[in-house]
Amino acid sequence: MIELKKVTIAFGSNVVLRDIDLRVNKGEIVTILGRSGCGKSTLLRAAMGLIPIASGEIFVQGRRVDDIKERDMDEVRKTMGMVFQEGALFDSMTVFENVAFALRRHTKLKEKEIREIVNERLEAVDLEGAEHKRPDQLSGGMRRRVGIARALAMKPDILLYDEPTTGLDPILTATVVELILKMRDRYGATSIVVTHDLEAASRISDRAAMIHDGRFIAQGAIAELEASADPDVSTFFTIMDRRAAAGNAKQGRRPDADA
Amino acid sequence: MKHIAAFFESIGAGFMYFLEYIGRAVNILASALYYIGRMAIEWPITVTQMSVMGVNSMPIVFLVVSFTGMFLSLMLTQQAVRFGTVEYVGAAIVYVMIRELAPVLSAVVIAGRVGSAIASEIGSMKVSEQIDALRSLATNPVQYLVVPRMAALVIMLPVVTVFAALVSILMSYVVAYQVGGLEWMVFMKNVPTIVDPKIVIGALIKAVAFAVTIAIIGCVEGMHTEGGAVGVGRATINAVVVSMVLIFGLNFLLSMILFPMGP
Ligand SMILES: Nc1ncnc2c1ncn2[C@@H]1O[C@H](COP(=O)(O)OP(=O)(O)OP(=O)(O)O)[C@@H](O)[C@H]1O
Ligand SMILES: [Mg+2]
Repeated sequence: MIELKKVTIAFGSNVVLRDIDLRVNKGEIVTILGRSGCGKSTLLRAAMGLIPIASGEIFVQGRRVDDIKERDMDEVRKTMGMVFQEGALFDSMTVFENVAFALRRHTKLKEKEIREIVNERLEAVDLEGAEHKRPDQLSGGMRRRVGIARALAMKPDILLYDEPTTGLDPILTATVVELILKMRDRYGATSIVVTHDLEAASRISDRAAMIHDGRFIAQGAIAELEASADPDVSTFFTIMDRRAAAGNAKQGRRPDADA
Repeated sequence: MKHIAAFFESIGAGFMYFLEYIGRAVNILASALYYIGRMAIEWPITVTQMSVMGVNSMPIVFLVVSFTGMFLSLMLTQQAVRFGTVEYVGAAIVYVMIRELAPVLSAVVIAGRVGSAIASEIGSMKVSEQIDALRSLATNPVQYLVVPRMAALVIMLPVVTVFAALVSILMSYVVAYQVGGLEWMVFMKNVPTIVDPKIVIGALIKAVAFAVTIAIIGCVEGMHTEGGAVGVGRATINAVVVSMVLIFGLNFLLSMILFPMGP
């Protein structure tokens, strides 16, 4: 369970998020939508305790975390995983070492067991055989998937995904969507997913929330949001639909093929 | 009037920045000491760093101190031959080398080689979100990145300093012999009367202080790097400049405190 209460975040005088209220229950998947630069990554970073908040409260598994020491937050973070928008892989380590990082530091597992877990995670993101590569030898999409494998390594209770499918082809997108669902169905993970991919969002999320001008302007099922009368919400969906349509047209499908 | 106000404003901003910088350094140092105090040191990383920092820096440190010792020796021997004070050349060189030049020169070279490497490595991790990734994996960047580098420097810089002193003294003897025909016994004659263990201990204390300075400044610059590749470059330069200035300043201060009586 993760909860934000009236959270406000500012960089200097630039208030990015204002009075954000969000509660994600155990086993729930919530997607965050919004234009580029609206503060989606900032929201995830705050939930992970990576940036300070100006006001409000953040709770993880019922424990208040926004005012605790970094060392105490590290204990909380052992139950959390974050997929960074740009991957943020450790570039001095191999793919294997990246995924094994938390397992080696926070568990007493034997090297053989770690190897098994890492291989399983890499397989789940379709990257078996890449374990000895270094991050600079990977494509953008591969890096993103290593980031996912690394975040999932410890089977965390809470998962924060920052655009996990952006830049992936449709097959890999489907793989990642399956993976996000599997983490919930099999391990009961609570997830927040930032995405621009409405189709993926409607497949994975129980609920979506849209940020505009630093606030949530709509919350609910994707279908509900799509039907919203709010001009900002409907503009977003109209544009996204048009973009998706353009994408489909490029792939040789009629724009309204699945309408 | 406007100019004057702007002038004082910029001084005020500079002073605030100075205070903020000190705050950052103290913060990182305190946090590092917390982990060192609990012996939560990552030894494998520390050992790697020790060889990268210490062993690989030795050749260049030895070159720098050797030439310094040689020019000192050249100057002193030429004068000493004229005034008939050749039995003081060795003592003077050994004294100044151990007490001042070996610690300072070793530290300055290491600041250039290692302080810059620390700042650029940690700085590029900062701008590519790898520091945040470490934190998200419940790993404290101070414990994981700063402590091993600081420990490695604190162990290696005194060692490098001791060898630097020995090498520079040997090289200055070679010059004294070539230029003034000084025998080893003559060169070393007055060393025991001037050089006592206190200056050796003082030199080691200096080396430890310089090691902490280089590590902390490199880490502060790295951990607070902003602005992409340009920011990494700026952090690297700052790390070298700031730690060099601090080394010279600190050296003067420590010499006053450690050796109030002179030889
Ligand atoms: N470290 C920072 N310092 C100053 N401003 C920042 C910082 N990080 C983010 N911002 C600002 O906060 C706002 C939100 O940024 P954020 O990265 O959260 O956007 P986003 O919704 O994730 O966008 P995108 O979809 O493009 O990833 C932006 O206006 C950005 O300029
Ligand atoms: Mg973002």
